[in-house]
Amino acid sequence: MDAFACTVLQQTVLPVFPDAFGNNEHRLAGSPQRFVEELNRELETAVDGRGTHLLSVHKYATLDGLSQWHDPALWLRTRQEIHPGVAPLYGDFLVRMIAAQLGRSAKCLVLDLDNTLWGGVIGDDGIHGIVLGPGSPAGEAFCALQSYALRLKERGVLLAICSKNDEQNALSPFELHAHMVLKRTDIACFVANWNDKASNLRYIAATLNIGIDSLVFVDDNPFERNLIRQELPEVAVLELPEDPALYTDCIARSGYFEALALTAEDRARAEQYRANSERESLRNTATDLTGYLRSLAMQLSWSSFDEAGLQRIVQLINKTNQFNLTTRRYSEAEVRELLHDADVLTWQLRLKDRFGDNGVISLLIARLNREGDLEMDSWLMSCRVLGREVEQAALDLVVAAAKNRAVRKIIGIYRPTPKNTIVKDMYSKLGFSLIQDEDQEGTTRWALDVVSYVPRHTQIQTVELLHAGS
Amino acid sequence: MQEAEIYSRLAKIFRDTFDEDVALKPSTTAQDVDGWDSFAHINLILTVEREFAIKFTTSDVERMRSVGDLATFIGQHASN
Repeated sequence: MDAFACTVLQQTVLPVFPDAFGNNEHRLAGSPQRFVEELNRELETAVDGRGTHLLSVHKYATLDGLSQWHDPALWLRTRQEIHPGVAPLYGDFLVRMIAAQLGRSAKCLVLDLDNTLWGGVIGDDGIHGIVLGPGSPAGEAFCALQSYALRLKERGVLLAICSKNDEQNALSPFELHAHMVLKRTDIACFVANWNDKASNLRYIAATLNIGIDSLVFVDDNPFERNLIRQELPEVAVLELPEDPALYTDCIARSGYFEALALTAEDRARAEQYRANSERESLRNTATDLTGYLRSLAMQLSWSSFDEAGLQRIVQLINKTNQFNLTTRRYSEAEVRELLHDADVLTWQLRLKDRFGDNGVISLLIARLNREGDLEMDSWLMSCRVLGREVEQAALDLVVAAAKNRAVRKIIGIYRPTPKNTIVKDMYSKLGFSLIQDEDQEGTTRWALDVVSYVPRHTQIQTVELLHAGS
Repeated sequence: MQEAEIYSRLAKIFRDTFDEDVALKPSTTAQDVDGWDSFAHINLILTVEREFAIKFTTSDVERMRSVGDLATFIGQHASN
């Protein structure tokens, strides 16, 4: 596996062996069924930290019923273990994991309010009229949906509200209803107005600095769903069943939020977005940008890539689309190889300020090329920290490393994608000069003379750490 | 069920499975049809089971050598 620098997907074992003991099969030593259960459990721990992920067919077979997934006659006749009838499902589970690896999983769950988060219409029925909470099956179903959304939030999915309502009405259950599981502070972006929902989804994506294709839209109203499908085909629109009791299952089984590794950044993400909105309100009161940045008291700590930060590094490399100069994707195994490559320099940057810790938000990979120049293989940054001079401070670090190695030139590369126009002029703004104009793919190359480079003053204090990622 | 009806429904299944019209005779076997490999065979058998609402046993499948055998079996077991 290390030799091929690839990711391995390991399929779990279907529990196809019949019981010889029955309900308490686990008491029968040597039972094949019990062995399969133990094997699947062991696999979970065995794959961790090895660039391997599980395709948990045994779990999905349990959801659908094993007989949907496995037919003993087909196995005997053709050694076909998985029934062709579930082949599309199997393909879906597989592709979800590949999508997650490539950073294509959704990032934000956008929820409607009336008849989605609670039963009834808050504007008509009022705070005491809406259906929510114990006492009615529907009320419990809406609570279950909210609890599930909260669990998604805790593992790093952003929550947004998109509702046709007066804002005051829309907010009232969050503030006043005893059985609301979700609080206003759980919501990264709250939109309640009478604009069309397509415009509101565009606004939500722009506010959270994520792509429109990272949104999953949950709305009980077929009219709104069709509008979004038509206006914004890149948004995932769930076909909600009529019964609210089935909403949670519908979201869970859609697979849009498939994830492979949980990082500290995932857990802290919601908090970071809340801090971001506080920064925004400070920016609105600050009179000049420099004064605003100074008031943030930013501290940028950095280290080379290391084992401790590996999960977050792989995650950032594979899901950063906008501020990404070359959009080169690397698997866990490939990143691990970089750690031991003497010709490769790496930086992971973590940004803290007076509102909180943003975690690791930027990565740089540079390679000494044949000419002895330092070539920027990858340079990417989370859009949450745009406009904070982080790229300027990062360049200072690269220049310092270049000087250390007596490198005279830093080469920058910009490879355009449909999503990264935001950094088209970054090298120019940082003082690089164009050395190779657009080729067929639109790629440009830039150079910076190390010797004559004068560091520009930023409002960021830089600190070297042994393990920035941990 | 009339033999003619069985053959016309089988013809549709073969067309869907192999993406082309297959001239079905009782003597037709897997050798006569391009793409009738073991994988296509599984899909074919499953589609026939679904279309005629029947279930083959493992030994039924082993005994069947030709389209004629298949049609005879369907005639004996399918009710609609």
